Amino acid sequence: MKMQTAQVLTRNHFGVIARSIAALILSTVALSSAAQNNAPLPFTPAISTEPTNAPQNTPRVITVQGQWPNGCPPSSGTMTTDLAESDYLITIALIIPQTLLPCTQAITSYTVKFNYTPQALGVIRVMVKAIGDGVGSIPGGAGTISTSLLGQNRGIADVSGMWYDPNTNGSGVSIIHNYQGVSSGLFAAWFAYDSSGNPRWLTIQEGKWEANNFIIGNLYETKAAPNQCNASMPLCVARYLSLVKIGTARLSFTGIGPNAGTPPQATIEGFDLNGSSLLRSSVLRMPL
Amino acid sequence: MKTLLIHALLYAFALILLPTASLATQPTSIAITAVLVTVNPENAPQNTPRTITVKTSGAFFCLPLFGVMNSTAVDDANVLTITFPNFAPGFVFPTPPAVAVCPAIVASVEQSFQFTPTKAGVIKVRALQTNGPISGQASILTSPKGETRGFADVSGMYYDNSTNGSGLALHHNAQGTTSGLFGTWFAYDTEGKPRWLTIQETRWETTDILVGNLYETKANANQCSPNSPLCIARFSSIQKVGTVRINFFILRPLDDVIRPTEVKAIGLDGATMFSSSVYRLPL
Repeated sequence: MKMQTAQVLTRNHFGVIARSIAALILSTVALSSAAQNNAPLPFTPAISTEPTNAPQNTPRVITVQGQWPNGCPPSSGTMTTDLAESDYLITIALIIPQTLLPCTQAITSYTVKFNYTPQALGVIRVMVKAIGDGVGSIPGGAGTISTSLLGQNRGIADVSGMWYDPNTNGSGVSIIHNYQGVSSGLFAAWFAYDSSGNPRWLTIQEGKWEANNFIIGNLYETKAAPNQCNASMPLCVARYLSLVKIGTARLSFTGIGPNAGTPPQATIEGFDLNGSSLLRSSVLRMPL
Repeated sequence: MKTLLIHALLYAFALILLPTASLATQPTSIAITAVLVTVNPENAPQNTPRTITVKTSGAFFCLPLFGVMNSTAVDDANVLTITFPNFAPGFVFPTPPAVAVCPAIVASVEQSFQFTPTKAGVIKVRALQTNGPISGQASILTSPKGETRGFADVSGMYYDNSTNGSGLALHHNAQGTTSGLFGTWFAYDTEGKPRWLTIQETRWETTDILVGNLYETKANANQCSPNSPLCIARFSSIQKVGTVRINFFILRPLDDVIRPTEVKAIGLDGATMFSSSVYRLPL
């Protein structure tokens, strides 16, 4: 009797194990199959940060959203920071969900939000990818978080380049902008002509961003001591003798930054110390 | 006893089958001490095969051993990604939370990938863990056939402190197909008045040395209004006054020596007109 009972128990026992094993194998296969079915096509998320620009230690919300190629969009993700990199980078990995059921082919909206509080000044690049078993890592897109000193603005985009008006080709503004840097500093040289038609330049320095697309700086003219050039050469490199502030310059930009929609344009205006207009030009960025 | 037997069997089975599922729900990164990504050749014409080598150093049994490169997945930002799984297989316990046991044996693992760029430009190669941050990166520079390109972006204001008030503004399309550059040189005339020249039609002679033409533009006289000594005007003449040669002694990412950039203006007769040793202005 004891023996029979033991035999019955053993059979039952093996039945439980067999069923458990079968269930495990089936669920593993189903999991793997479902994960493969959920392999998406390349995706192009919209990445935005609110607020876009703010002082240090201001909490930001990074929103990643778009249309997912099937019915199993990501609803979560991980965020890692690698601020030691020269790129000053945050990587967001959206996690493609594993499901036991096949995904529908319907294009589906998704939104995933992350919180981040920058502690350092400058611009941090946000890279977004999607990850999942069987699909590896799929690149998505990039956005930025910009941080300025309390009460200060910074440029919304890098405005470096040669800017000129095709109607006055031969004049122009050369702008060097430290967009990623702490100060979002800008140095510009304005190329113009004097009343004799000789080329002259002015510099725009000590710029301060009044808004994220509008900067005001001081306008300087430098001169060197005469007769420093070699007799055979009408021009020479020399140290300046005088640096005279002749007024201010205002540079306002359109068509820059995320989702600008239009080509970059700028209006550069120079004013004398009395506020009267000296120079004005509506310029486009020269393609190199 | 029987319950124990069942649990033991199921646990043993789970040890074999479950790591993947456990990983998927418990994304975890491991510490890697160093990742070095190199490209050989780093700079070459289109359609030249490159070897990308990723060398990882760290705790041996936790190193990601098998990276995956999807060579068709160069994204919009021209980034080529090599992805490594988070764990070497077989070292994950399925008991929650998932943890990896990493013996403290320091070693290195090297893996090579083949990639052939077909377009001119710069592609950034990034090695990263599936769920982790970027661990290492390098660049693949590709020039149109028969041409070369600069190693780095040389855009900026350059000046020599001893001749402060003169200088160059360089705009370099470092990521573009041509690696094109447009420059302006601020100088003075014999009266000490500020004059400028432009540097155009540039060509990279080597990855460090750029040559181009030097132009002077002039406008018609009497275009300025009486209240402004200067005016914005269209040029009436553009004259090539010589050539320019700039040796950047390009700073490689691992270099720690900053050397000046040597700029030389050469007249049409081949004689040096003026030269300058300049540094990039920090903004």
